[in-house]
Amino acid sequence: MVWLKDGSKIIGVETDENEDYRKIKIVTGDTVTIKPNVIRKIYQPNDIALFNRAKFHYKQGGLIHANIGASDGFGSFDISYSKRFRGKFELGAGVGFHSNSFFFSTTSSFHWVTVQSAPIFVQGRYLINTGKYMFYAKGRLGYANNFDSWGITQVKDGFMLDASIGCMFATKRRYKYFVELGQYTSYASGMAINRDPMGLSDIGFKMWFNNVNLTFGIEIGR
Amino acid sequence: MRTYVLIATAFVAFLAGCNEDRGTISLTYNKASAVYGNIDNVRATPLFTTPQAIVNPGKIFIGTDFLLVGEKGSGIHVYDNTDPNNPFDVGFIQLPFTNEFYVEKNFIYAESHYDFIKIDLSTINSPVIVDRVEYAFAEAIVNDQNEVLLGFDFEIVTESFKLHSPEAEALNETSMLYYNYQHQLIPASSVPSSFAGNGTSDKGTLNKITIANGHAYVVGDQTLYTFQDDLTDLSYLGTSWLSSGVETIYPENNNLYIGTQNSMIIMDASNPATPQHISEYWHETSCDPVLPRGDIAYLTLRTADFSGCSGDENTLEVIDISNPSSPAMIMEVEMTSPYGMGLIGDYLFVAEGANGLSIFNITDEDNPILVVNHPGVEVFDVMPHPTDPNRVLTTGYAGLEQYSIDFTDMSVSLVSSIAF
Repeated sequence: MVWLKDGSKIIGVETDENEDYRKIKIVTGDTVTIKPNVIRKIYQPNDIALFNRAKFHYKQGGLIHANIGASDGFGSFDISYSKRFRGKFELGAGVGFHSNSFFFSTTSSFHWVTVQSAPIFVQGRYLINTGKYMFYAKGRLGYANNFDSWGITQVKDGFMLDASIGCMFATKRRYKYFVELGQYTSYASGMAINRDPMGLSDIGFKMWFNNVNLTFGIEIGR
Repeated sequence: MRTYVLIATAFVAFLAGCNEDRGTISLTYNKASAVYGNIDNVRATPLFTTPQAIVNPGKIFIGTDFLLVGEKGSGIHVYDNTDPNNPFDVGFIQLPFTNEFYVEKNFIYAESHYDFIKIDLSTINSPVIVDRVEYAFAEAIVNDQNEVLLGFDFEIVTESFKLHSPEAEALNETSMLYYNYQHQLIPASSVPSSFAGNGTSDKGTLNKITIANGHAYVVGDQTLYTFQDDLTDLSYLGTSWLSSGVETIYPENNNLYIGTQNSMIIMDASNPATPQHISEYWHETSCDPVLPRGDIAYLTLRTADFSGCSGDENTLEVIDISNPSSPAMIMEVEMTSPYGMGLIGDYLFVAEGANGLSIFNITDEDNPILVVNHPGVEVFDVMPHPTDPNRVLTTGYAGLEQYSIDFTDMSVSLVSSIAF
């Protein structure tokens, strides 16, 4: 597939090339001659999985992922860089900003604690298929990197784990969209300021945050 | 595709049980234990008894003949004040669970748990209940034995428990009971002690009960209760929902000015039986007494110093209320921890708790100018003396105090005090 700078795409088989032009034989049997200076990118069959209407997925190469997730008492933003191999596997690393809250009541008051973290993680994906709707399984393992923030006076670090399944949607552009459903677990322990007048000491906690998250994201390829 | 759907379904099923945080919590807190009993026995408590020590003062009324000091949760101390320089205690009005009262002429209007009570204090040695509206503020909360929830006992405990454990769930259930109880009845003021009034037209700015045009008004946590007040009869008329976090009420002309933690609500009470909402002036979350005067309302917003209000707002706001339908802020003054207010002539006194007593010149009522702050006068509320224009009464950490004011240099001197 030849992607031109004006955004149009020509799908076919490259039959000839030199410094002045490239020749592409298209499905009708005709040959199109293109000047190199109007070409944005040429994808070879090993680079992408091509579908109708010039929609495609990347089969290999470096990819940037950015995603936001949320569930009850949880919010996240992550950005990562991964390398995709053989259209089946992906390995990468990333950073994020996560916010985990837990709530509880005592006899006369309600308490709310939010732990914030900037996790550093490695991640891997297994691409279950390479169709237009590309299903995958994903895992992440990282260092939670919890930090003192509003309401938290002292916090220790822990690990974070995440397993999810997702679906990525083929597009005509470099940007692909995905949605994931995942199980997230992160550990934190520490002390939080107790703002309730009935609470006479700060809140000590040792907490495994468990969340089933819905995540939306974007993949950016070359 | 069917395979993927199966995998997805299995994964979702796997996730179903993993959405609860798990962990251990530990803290020291004031544990509330519900106390149930026979409400009729509570109501049968003798009204008047011998003088008691002031332990936990609440509302205070300074009259020309008598002085009343509320004892949170149990009643009202009665002092003979016919000699203002030498008030002496004559007895104690027992009102179990009371937090708030108001005085109009020789009548005390007090909430006592579920009930609203009117007491005739014409003879301070023998007060008499004129009328009692039973269950004025809430239906009785009862347990399985049909006993009425009378309140909570508090005990300081240190506990550790697992989140979502049976112990934690039990705490949550008790919390809901406590919440319902607190929000249905008249909550205690967020200010340790404050003035109801002084027997003249001066009223406290931290009241939850007031009287206007032959009607009694009481604000709960979210509602306004209206009662018709005839000489010997107090009758419930209705309840209006206001907002959450309602704190104070102040009548002026035919309007009711209601301070909530997020706004000042103006109600039209020209038809006193059915006050109507006119407008709401929104502000940042804080504790906020209102003092209207003519076309201006002074509003203090406080989050510091004992507030019980989250946020970071400590200001005196000047609100134009010439058109009650659209109150608008004219200016605001940064303060440290403003509590109650009082007006003496052209001076606005603002209690700032541990941060002293601030006095503003309001000759130009739109533009209060800070004249002085007396850091040593650590008070929560201020009330003009009922007869002496050169004196001010305060309530604070040291108790009930009386100061003389030298208006030439705005200095204040302690005259007398009742420590509590």
